[in-house]
Amino acid sequence: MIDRLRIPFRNEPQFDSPHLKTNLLIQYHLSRLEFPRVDYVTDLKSCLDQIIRIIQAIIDLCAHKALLSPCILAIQFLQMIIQARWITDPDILTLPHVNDRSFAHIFQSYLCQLLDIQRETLADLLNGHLSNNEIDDIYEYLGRLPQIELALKIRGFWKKNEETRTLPANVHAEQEYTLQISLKRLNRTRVSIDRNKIIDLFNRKILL
Amino acid sequence: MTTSAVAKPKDESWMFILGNSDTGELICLKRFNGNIRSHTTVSLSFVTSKQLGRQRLTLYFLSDGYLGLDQQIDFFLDVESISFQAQINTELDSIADELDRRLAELN
Repeated sequence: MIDRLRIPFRNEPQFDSPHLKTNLLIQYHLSRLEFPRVDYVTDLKSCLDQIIRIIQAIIDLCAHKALLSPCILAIQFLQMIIQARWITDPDILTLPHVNDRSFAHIFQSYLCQLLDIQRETLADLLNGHLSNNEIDDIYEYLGRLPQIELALKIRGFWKKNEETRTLPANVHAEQEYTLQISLKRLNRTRVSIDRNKIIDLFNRKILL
Repeated sequence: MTTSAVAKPKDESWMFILGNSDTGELICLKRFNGNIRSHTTVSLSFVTSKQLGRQRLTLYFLSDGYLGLDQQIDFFLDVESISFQAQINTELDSIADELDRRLAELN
C-alpha cells in the first residue's frame, strides 16, 4: 500500500504506529484509491469523523496566534478532506463523474470559469466522453455551486460621526474599524437554495 | 444521501480572513455558516496597526468544502496618526450600542 502514496514517508516506516496508519488512510482518501481490505474503510470512516473537528481546532489556533498562511493551509486541507481530492489536482476533478486527469484537457478551464456554462456548450465538450445523464449531473452540480461577488467598504470614526467609506481609505492607527463585506449570489437559481448542500463526493468512494 | 456516519450532506460554510500577507499576520477570522442568499452583508471588526503608512491588506474568502472557489481581494489602507477624538467616539458609540441592547432587554 505504501508504494501508492503520493507523499512518501520521510523515515523508515514504523508499521505499528497509529500516525502512520492515519497518514496512509488520509492519503488513500485524497487519492480516492481503493483499499485492499474492507477493514480499512471502517478505519477511514472513524478517522474522517474526527479529522474535521481537529482541523477546525487548528484553524482556531492559527487565528488565535495570528498566523496567516498556516491558517489558510489548514482551510485548504479541510477542503481536500471534504472533496477527497488534492489541492494540486485540477479543480474540475471535484465534478461528478469526472475521475480522470485527462478531463483537464477537455475542459481547458478552471472550475470557477465553468459556473456560467450553457448546457449545450457543456454537452459539446463532453460528448463522446460521458453519457447524457452524466452531463446532466455535471450541469446540475455546476448550477448549485456558489458564484459569489464580493464588495468591500469600511465603517468607523474619522472625526465626530460614524461613516462608511470606500477603499482604499485613510484610517487612524490603533482604532477599531469594521470591514463591511457585501456578498451577492450570482447563480442561475435553477435549484432552490435550501437544497443547496455540498454533497461530499468522497462518500461514493467510501461506500464502494 | 445519509447512508453512513460520514456521508452527510453538508451545509455551505465560509471563512473570512483579513490578513497582511507582507507580514504574514492574520488580523481577524470570521466564520459564516449557512447559505449566502442573493444579498448578504458580513461585518468584520478589526483594530488598525500601530505602524503608520500605507499597507496592503487582503481579505480571503474561503469555502470550507469546495476546492477552487476561493477568492481574495487586496486593498490599501493609509494608516495615519492616532486620533484620540475618533477613538473616544468609537468607544462611546459601542457603549451607546450596549446601553441600547440592555434597555431593549428590559422592555
